Amino acid sequence: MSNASLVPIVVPLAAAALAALGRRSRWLQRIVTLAAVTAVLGIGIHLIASTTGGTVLTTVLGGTDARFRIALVADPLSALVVTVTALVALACTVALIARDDDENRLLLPVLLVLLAGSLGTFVTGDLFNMFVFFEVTLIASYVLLVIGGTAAEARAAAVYVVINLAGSLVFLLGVGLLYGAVGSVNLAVLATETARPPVRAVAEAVVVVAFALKAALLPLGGWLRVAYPVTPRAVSALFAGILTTVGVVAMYRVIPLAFGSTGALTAVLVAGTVTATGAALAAAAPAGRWHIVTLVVMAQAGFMVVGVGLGTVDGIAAGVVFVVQDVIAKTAIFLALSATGDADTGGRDLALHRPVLAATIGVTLVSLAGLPPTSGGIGKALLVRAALLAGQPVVAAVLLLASLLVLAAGVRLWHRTSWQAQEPGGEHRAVAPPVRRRIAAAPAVVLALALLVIGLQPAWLDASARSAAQVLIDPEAYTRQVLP
Amino acid sequence: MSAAVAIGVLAAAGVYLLFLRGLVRAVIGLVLLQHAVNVLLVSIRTGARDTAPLAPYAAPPADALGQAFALTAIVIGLGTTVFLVALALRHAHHHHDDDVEGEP
Repeated sequence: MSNASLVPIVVPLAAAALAALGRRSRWLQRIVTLAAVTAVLGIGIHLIASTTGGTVLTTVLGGTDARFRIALVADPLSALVVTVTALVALACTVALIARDDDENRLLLPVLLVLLAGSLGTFVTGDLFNMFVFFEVTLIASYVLLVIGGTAAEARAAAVYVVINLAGSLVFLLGVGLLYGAVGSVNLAVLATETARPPVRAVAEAVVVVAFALKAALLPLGGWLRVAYPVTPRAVSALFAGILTTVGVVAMYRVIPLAFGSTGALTAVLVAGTVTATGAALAAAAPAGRWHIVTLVVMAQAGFMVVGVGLGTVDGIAAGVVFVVQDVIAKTAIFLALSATGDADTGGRDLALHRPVLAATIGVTLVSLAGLPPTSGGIGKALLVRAALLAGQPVVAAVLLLASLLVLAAGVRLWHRTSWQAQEPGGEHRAVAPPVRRRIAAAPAVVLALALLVIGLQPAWLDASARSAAQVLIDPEAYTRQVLP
Repeated sequence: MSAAVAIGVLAAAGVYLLFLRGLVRAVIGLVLLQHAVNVLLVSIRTGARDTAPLAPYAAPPADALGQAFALTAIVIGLGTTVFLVALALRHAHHHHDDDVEGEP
């Protein structure tokens, strides 16, 4: 029994408390936050090292009565996702601090709570525990959404909160029904209990619907399009990178292991392909760059769940690779766009004046569209290959079509970027970069480099993803190591 | 049986209110939905109907886990409802109305 899976939850929460208590001193907050996120990154790397080859680390809390214990489980999927989430959180925090965006003294503590909640959903082995961590993440995101205090944010937040609250209730409904049908909400126990009375099938369907809402799949994903464009610049990158990933990883963990019914997988596959195409197509419509990039993010969520929807080891492994590199890509594009101006002079102008930033945006857009030599190309290629191997040529064709549409949206976005800000009188003012602004853009550059590195050397990620997929798809391997 | 009817009625009323215009009505609808889910959680019986889980046990105690779920859900629901009401209040200050629909 290892306590490593407790660290990603306890450290950010403790740091949040410290940062909230010490909010008189901004630098205390910043140091505490950076230290906590770095510590989580470190433990994530340790977890990756400890879970190679399909080892599953379990921590069981709650005493000796087997029914009341809660299992925290670190399997290869958890390790990968914890590490990449900590990485993007570090990037966002550095950018935030460099831009001085943490004037509101509660921003950093609530950000740490968001991190703790999302990491908690990645390491939990119990469905109700997952609900609790979902709620922690969501409540933190509600606060972060309105922290700027503008009316537009309040309006978007109203929609976001209502829809997500309804989604949480649906999730709870499903968990309750599942508990009544099976007698436990522990994922390992659910995996071993293979009897499927009708109540259980209904409960599983309800839970899958709730996950689809969290992951912002069509037709339940409208909230993303409303909320993300008005998210405060300080946290928009964090939202893009982490929030939909939480719902998607929940699907990866729960559906093949505990649900295992082909109906759920087919539904997820269909929803994923529809989302990918629909959102990418819709990205051709809006005029504002934040709206375009929001819809591109929504399309990525669709691609992410196609991996689990295919249901094979190849599919899940491809999906895990895609998820890991996509978190980096989504965060990178939001960070990079935050560093640009909002006039419409176009990418070529940007390339002349801010070449490194333009290259960053270019690489990230190429990765989101799924072209080599970036990691997006690897991810897409693996997904298409898995779809063909699983006997789903239609899905493969739709994936390629959707990638093309995302590329078109990326081109549109490129024309909307600029190094100049639009003044109210219609004139342009240069977004002159003092040293701090360059530091603020640096995390985006680092993330884009990571995309290139992964794209050129994907072997280790592929191997980790494959071992993760083998644990996820084989209840035997999981439960053998989790249940006593 | 009565629990099932109660859940159904609460859920129906909650969903209806969610579709009306006005954030306050949506909040009330969500509260009713929360009640429905909590009644569901409390009425879970994974064994025979047993006595209340209060020590000392005269007979095998009922399953406390469903009730624990309901407690957690109530508290979480309370937090989010308070937040939503605060949002509605903030919106009402600006617009003298709680209608959040329509283009900004």
